[in-house]
Amino acid sequence: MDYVFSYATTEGAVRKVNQDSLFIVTAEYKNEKLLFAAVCDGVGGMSAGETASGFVCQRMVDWFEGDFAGMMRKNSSVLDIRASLDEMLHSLNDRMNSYADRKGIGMGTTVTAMLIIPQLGRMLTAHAGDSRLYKITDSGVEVLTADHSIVGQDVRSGKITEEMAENDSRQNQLTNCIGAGLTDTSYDYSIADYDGNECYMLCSDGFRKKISKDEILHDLCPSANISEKDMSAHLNALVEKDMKCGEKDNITALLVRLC
Amino acid sequence: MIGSVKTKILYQNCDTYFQINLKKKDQIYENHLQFLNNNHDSGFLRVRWEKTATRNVLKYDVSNLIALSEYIKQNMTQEKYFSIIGQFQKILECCSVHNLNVNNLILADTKSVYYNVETKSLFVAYLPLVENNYSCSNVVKFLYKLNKSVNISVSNGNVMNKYELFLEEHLKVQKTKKDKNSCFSHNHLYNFLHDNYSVFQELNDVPDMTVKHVKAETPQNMCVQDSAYVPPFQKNEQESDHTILVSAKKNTDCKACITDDNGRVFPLDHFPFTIGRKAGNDLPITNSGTVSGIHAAVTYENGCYYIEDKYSSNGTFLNETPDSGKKIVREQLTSGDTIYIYNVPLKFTVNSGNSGTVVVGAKKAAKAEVPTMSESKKEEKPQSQDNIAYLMNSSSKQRIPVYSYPFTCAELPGIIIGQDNSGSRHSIFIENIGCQSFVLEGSEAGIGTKNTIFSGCKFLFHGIQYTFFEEN
Repeated sequence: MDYVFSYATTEGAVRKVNQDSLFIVTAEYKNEKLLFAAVCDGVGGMSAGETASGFVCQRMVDWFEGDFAGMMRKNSSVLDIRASLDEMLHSLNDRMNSYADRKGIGMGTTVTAMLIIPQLGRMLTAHAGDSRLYKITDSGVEVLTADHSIVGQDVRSGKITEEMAENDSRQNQLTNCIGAGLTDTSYDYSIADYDGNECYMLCSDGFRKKISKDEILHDLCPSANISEKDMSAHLNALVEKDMKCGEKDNITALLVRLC
Repeated sequence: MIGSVKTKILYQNCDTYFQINLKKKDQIYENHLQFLNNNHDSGFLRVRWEKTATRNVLKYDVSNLIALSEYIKQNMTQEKYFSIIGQFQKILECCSVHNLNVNNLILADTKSVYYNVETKSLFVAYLPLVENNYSCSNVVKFLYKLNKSVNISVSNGNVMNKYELFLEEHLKVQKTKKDKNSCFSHNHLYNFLHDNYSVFQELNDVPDMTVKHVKAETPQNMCVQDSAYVPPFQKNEQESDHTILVSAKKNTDCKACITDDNGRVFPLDHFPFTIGRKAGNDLPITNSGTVSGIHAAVTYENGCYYIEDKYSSNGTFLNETPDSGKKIVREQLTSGDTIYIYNVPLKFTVNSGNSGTVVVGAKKAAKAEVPTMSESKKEEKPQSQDNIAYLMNSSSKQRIPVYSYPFTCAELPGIIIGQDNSGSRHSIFIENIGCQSFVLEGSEAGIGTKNTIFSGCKFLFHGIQYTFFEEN
């Protein structure tokens, strides 16, 4: 398994600071390449948002290089890997809350991460908040995560349709994230099979609100994104489109093609 | 800006204030301040003086009053008009009797004079200052402006002409004077009215000159304040222009508001927010006979706004004029909707613009700050009739729905899928209590083992592969 990836991130047309963070790391183990990537959308004023999202990204990379590498060597199962990741995210949550308490500020971050482990043939995802993971094949687009927001809840419970959700005024109300004074919350995990010639896109809410699934399919499908250059051009074009459509938030998207 | 005074209208909680910003060094004459608050019935707006290191303001309570400029937009009879002028004369007289300086009245525009529709009484703002350097009072000019802008069904044209001439004459006289009010007193007005109009008799009969102060009745516990949805982190929040946990704008900035045809904005700062003909409504529409006393109300539940008809005679309509005949009883509102209070259009908007991301799941905040939040913001529990997860047989693709935990099924004897709860953290586990051959994600899980699983986990049950999926 090999990967082609690119990303686009901007503070957007209105905000002065980019509170989104992202990372993509790869590693080689037993002749197989692993990939770990995430997008975090920070929440909180006075630079707390970017601190939170940056902190989580940094610690996740540390986990990948440390604990996770150790587990791979011990042939741990995906269940153990998930448990370790979960423990790490909860400890980040607790640390962030105690830091925010001390400083008297509010800080939090969404996180959506994907970890591809070819040795196990599985992809593990971790998710909290309203950033998203999309699976894009040449035939369709699928959202693999559930938005932890009031609007997302209403869509799932059937109160409103997805079209209505796009224009809903409560876009900014999160029900779950890392930090923000939340304790004892659970994050979403899933494992899935993956295949070559699939694209996976991680993005913050700023990226996807103003563009449709069709646009995502058209621009980010595997066949249109052979090289890193194609990817970068497509992502930046969509970011431009977002801003033209009046998106005020930070915009971040990360695209990985499996090959 | 009126004269050289800076003014603005403030909405705070259920009250409306007409605020005047004074200069730091302006001194308040306490006796007059007291007088104003004791003599509300004589036509003076109640006033509160607030002085801090940075602010020196007078806040006149104009709740349930409408600006005279608005009131006179409707057509009124000549009698009614002169009864207002008569009341105005009384106020001037009262000033004279109690040694209040007419120059201290805020009288430059009909916007800054208020009217109570229910009690039919006029109110003016008076600056209780020791020294007044604001030229914001010109009685004749005010009356002249009022006369120009008012809509009267004339019953005696002669008197109207005379009155206009009377005002014009005084305007000419005062032109050469430095103190504009020096050549016009309550007596001039009295004499004119007395000679030409028999309003004084009527005026004495005007009912309810003793003013009842009508307050919008909103039980406190029904108030859903804007702050109910934000965690208490805003202490240090200053910047409001990027994603933040809470809306850093503290004031009374409301998420939603209603705008009427004249562009007046009514923030939806409490609920139910009533709309109707009676002056006591949060949004009074006093000049329309087709509007019922209490016609409709806006409510807020679970993050949504609703418009409810309050058994009005002519009905409430949403996004369609009354011609459509589609009366509504209760409808959810979305930003941009037009509510028709029978034929009076009102625009509903939600300000999503600047408000940053808010975490409503912040339990701590809910407990500490807003006890009402649990009522208004219940988290949606998965409904029991929907399946919360399913197991898929990988070869037959057959789906076994999971409706509740703990879950067992005939296809998987000896296996229990359950939920562990610690606080609000939950996890799903799979427990093997009697299966000889059970492999979970590539590892043998013998009898008595219990493992956490999540969406996408695969297991082999006697060699048959199943995948567990959680519904979103």
